[in-house]
Amino acid sequence: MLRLYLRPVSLSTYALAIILCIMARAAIPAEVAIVLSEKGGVYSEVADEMRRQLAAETKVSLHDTATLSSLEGSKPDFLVAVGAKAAQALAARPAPTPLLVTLLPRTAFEQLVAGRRRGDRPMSAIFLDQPFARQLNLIRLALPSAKRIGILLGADPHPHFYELNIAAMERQLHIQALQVEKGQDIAWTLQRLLPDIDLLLALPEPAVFNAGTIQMILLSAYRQQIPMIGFSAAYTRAGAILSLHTTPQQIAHQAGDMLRIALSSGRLPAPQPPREYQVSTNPHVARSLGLAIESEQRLLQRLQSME
Amino acid sequence: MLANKPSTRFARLILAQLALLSTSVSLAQIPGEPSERDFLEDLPVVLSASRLVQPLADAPGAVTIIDRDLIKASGAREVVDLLRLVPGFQVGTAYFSTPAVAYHGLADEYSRHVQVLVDGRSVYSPYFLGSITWNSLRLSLDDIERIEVLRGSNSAAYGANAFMGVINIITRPASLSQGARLSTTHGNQGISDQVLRYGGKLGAMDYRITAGKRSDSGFENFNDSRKLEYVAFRGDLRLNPRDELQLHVGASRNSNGAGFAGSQGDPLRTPEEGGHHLHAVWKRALGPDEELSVSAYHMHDAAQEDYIVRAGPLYANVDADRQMRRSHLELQHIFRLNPAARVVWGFEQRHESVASKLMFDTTDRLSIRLRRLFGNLEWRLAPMLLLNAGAMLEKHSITGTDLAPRLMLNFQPLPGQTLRLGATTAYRTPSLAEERADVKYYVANAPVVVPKYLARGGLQPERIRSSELSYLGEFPSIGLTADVRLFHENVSHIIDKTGNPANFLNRWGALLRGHESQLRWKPTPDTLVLLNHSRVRIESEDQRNVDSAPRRSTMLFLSQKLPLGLQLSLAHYWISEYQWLGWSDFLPKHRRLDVRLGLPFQSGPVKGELAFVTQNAQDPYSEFRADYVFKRRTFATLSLEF
Repeated sequence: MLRLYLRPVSLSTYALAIILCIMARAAIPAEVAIVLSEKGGVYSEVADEMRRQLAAETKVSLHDTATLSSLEGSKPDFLVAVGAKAAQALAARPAPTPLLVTLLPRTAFEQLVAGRRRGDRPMSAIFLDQPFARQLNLIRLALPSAKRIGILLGADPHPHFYELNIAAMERQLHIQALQVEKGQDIAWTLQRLLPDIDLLLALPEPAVFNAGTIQMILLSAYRQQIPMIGFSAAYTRAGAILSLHTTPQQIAHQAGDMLRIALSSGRLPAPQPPREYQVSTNPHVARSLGLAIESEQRLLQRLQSME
Repeated sequence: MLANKPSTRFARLILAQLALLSTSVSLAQIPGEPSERDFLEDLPVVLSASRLVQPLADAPGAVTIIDRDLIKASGAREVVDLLRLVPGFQVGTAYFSTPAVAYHGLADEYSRHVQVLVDGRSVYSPYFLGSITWNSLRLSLDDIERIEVLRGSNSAAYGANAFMGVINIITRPASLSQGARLSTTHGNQGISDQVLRYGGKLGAMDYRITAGKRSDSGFENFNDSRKLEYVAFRGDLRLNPRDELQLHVGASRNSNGAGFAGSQGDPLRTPEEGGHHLHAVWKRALGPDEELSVSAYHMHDAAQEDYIVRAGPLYANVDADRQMRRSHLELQHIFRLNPAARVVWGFEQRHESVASKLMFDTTDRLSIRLRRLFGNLEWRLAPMLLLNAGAMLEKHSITGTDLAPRLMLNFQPLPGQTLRLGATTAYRTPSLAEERADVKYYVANAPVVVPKYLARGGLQPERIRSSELSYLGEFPSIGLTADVRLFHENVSHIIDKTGNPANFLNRWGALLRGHESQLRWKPTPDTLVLLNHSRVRIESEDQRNVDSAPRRSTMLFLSQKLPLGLQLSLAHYWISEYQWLGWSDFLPKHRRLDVRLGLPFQSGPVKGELAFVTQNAQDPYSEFRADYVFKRRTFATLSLEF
């Protein structure tokens, strides 16, 4: 009797306990830890924007590479790295917490992933690089007469060169690439490339395109009346005819969305290019080169309508 | 010899500028691993407002651009050779190998109606009647990025010396001329030129240093051989993404033969001339279309020339030593007023001094002070209509204040089609000599003084009122650009000397009418065709002015790349008869053919070219004087780059 009496009680207790547990789990706030490459500046701006994107009950803790030890003891559901340095620091720490890396070039992420072993933490990313298809679509919209696209590559083989060629072929564009051999002068290689191209597409290859070489590259191209396409607003300011780029705020929006999906599904979406982007143009350079280009707004609308 | 005081002042000025700029250091990133810095870092504004070439369709006047390819293909030995390629220009060699350059006549051997600027530094000398000192350009042709020749009056933008036009020489940024270059030229008539250049990096600065030598024996039977040596330095220092500093330093010396064999009044001699310049330009990019720049230069030219003039048993010692100094400060601001309007405005201050015992009969320095305020508004009134309205207010210590305005309307009904209509007024300030010359020979063996020149002063500036209607057609699909300019130039108060001793007076007026056209056709990257034609008619009460420009001149230039990288170019000129002012002779109509063949080669890291040039391959013709006979000149140039 007693057993019969007790049984339903214990069953309901169990059920209650389970329900309570489920409720309790829902009530324990989800936790995201953001690690910045450096404190302040653009990194903090990204973190702040990401925090605004997440539900108010999500617990967000902020760290940087100098204070990684503060992560000890905390058990976040997801880790977010802002910048390549933070990504490298976190990837080096063996732990099961899934990691979303943001604000870094695609090649930097692929280098990180390449060194992974079985059992390493799950990783995903939002790159800074625009997909080639998008860049080439923009070229076709803004400078329809440009068919031969010049690429200046560093000494190491470019990991996505094949992909770029395919994307170009699909759009009846021709990629003319030259590699700056080790020990060879960038200026010398550029001089050989310029006569055969209609425009120069800058790629984020720090060995070729950096603050120290940009003056020589832009001046040489301009002298031959070759427009350059950049990958940041700074390139447009420097003298590129136009650039396609994503702002850190736009990356933060996307990261916020990815984290919301991850928190509800428990899994990180696949690595992806930036979803939102901007077109910046330099009408003064365009006019000086005798090229007519549409407004930034119009180009952006037309580009978006193609996706 | 060094201009001590102004130099120290100048050095202090540069130091002060540098101190002002001690803001953030260069952002130069160490090339390496890809990171977000590539996407987020700030970059220098390279194609800044002043570096962008204004599209021809928006320019407030007719422009001829001589770029590096054309400089090379032309076979030119020096800058004046290149001006033969510009419609309306006449080029000759006057006394003692002095180049004479004019646009639409009215000129003697002193080219004082056009302004020549090297990176903004004026190479106009206030000595004697005022002239361009071609020897103080201090550059090799390979140092030139491009030459923009603005045809027609441009005082509104460039001041009084830009009376008939401006020759704007823009040198290459040092970052584009890195490595070593060596070139040597040898030919007949004593032609022997050498250039040595090295470009490198020194910390954050790109630099280039060029040393050159140019010599030839001049015209046959005349003591007008030339020997020029020069050295020039350009440094480009990027201070931070917004600020850059350009430094130009140069020095030269030359000795040209002068005088005539057997002449008592103009005996044989070899004056020694020399000089140096120091020029700093600071540019701050405030935005993609806003820039502030400060340019300061100091230059010093001097010559030693002493000789004896005789008249029968009498003789006089002539001390023709001279010195010229100029300090110049300029501030310029380019900005956008609104999406349709852009403004360039600025301020210039200049101090010049000349010392010449012969010219002014004193050992004192005579000085000139000059202040200028200039501005130009480029205003797109409608998508098809662009207005350029500019003016320069100039206050000169000799002639007082003048205002040179300019209005130009560019109508662009269709892409590539431009009609220009405009008018301008410009002035040429009299030179110190025209205003104050006091030349007298003190006979040494008798108590006699022979006055030669005595200027009474009170001159008014020469004035030009010019209007033009022109058409520019750009057809990029077939590589064709055509420019036709109709001009009407009314020149008044032309200064000329008269009497004995000679005095300078505002004597003449002249009305210049005509048209000139320029056709540039580049059907393929390997072919370039230029066709220039100009017709000038001068009306004046003085017949010498009427005859001072060829009524017709035509130039056809062809350049073709051949297999094996060979490049053949031909320039054919047809010039009708004319006579320079000054002691020139009537020059019958003539033809001239220049031919160049270039053979490039490469061996490992060494790139080179062997070029053969013949200037005036056909019959000899006379330049300036009937007996200055330009015979076939042939030379070969070997250049190596590594």
